[in-house]
Amino acid sequence: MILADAVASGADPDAISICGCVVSCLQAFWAWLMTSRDDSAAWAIAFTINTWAATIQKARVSVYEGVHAIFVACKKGIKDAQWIEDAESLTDKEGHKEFRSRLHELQKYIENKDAEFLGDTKDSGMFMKRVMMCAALASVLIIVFQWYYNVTLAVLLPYPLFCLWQIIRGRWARFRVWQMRKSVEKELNRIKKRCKKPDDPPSMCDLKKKLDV
Amino acid sequence: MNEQDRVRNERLLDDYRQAVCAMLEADGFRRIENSSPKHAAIIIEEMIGHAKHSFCAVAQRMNPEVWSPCVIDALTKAVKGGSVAVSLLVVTPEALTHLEGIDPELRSHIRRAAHPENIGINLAVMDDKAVRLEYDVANDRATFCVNEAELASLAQAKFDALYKAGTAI
Repeated sequence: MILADAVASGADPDAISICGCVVSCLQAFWAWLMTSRDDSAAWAIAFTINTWAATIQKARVSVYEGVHAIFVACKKGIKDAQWIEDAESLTDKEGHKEFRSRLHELQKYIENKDAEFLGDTKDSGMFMKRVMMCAALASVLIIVFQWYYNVTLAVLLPYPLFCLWQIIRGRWARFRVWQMRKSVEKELNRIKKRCKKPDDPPSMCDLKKKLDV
Repeated sequence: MNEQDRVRNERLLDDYRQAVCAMLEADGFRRIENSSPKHAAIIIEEMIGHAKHSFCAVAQRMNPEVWSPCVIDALTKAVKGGSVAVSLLVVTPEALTHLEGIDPELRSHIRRAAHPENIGINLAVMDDKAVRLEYDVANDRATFCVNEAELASLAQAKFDALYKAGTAI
């Protein structure tokens, strides 16, 4: 768990998944050790599953941070777009060309980030689904194991509840990512609107009308 | 903002200032649109700097991003120089707060609008040569024109009427 947390702080989902595998192998070894010594297989299995769930949870957090970075980039994009809009109306020909290329650079950057983000959420979403299904199945197995070994009810409940808690947390993280994604989409649309040629400015005639005393 | 962004922004502002100066020094009609407050500050500062006879402006709330310390300094210098007639009309109490601590001589050239409900725009007029007209105040959308005599005289007439009815601050 400590190892998983340490790697998670690096916020790299791949590294976290690999770390999750390593930690799970260690836990499996520990489970085997405990089983060979006494009847604590249920404990060991539950602990393994919990470690998995916690590790994946960290991966979700890193995806969330990634989305936030895109959100910040989009905010900056809006500011840049405003510059471009003004500068374009002032500078013609050469200046126009320069600002156009900057605009394309910005749009490309946002599109790349968006594609990257969609890839991340799709992959980790599927991965998460499988892990959570395993956790749910494991919860059932734990209950069976604990019943078989005649463990008291007080010991019986915490692990399945913990797994359930992990599932809820996972769903919540997923909801937050969805929320962030919606914000990003909104910001992107705003940028696209701003990057379009602004509404036609009023004619000289309209301006003169506004100045009628 | 990191160092690279800061340098880039400064370079862009310099480019913009040069382009505005070129417009003000040109002989023919030119018109640009403006929506960035920082660009608006450059336009107004250069209008004051290039004024030969007069500079007047309606600044409803004196947006501090537009009426920056540099712009206020330019106004103060113009007033103290004596050759340019400077007049400014403000509308909201917010504008008066922004004007606290300004040079007393400059203050004497500023009035507060008597009928704020009649003022839907912000404007700045330099001599009979350049006009910045903020026609959509809510969205900071403005037009900056040079060498459009009719628009300049209409803007000047509108300003004169509002200024005459205004009260000293």
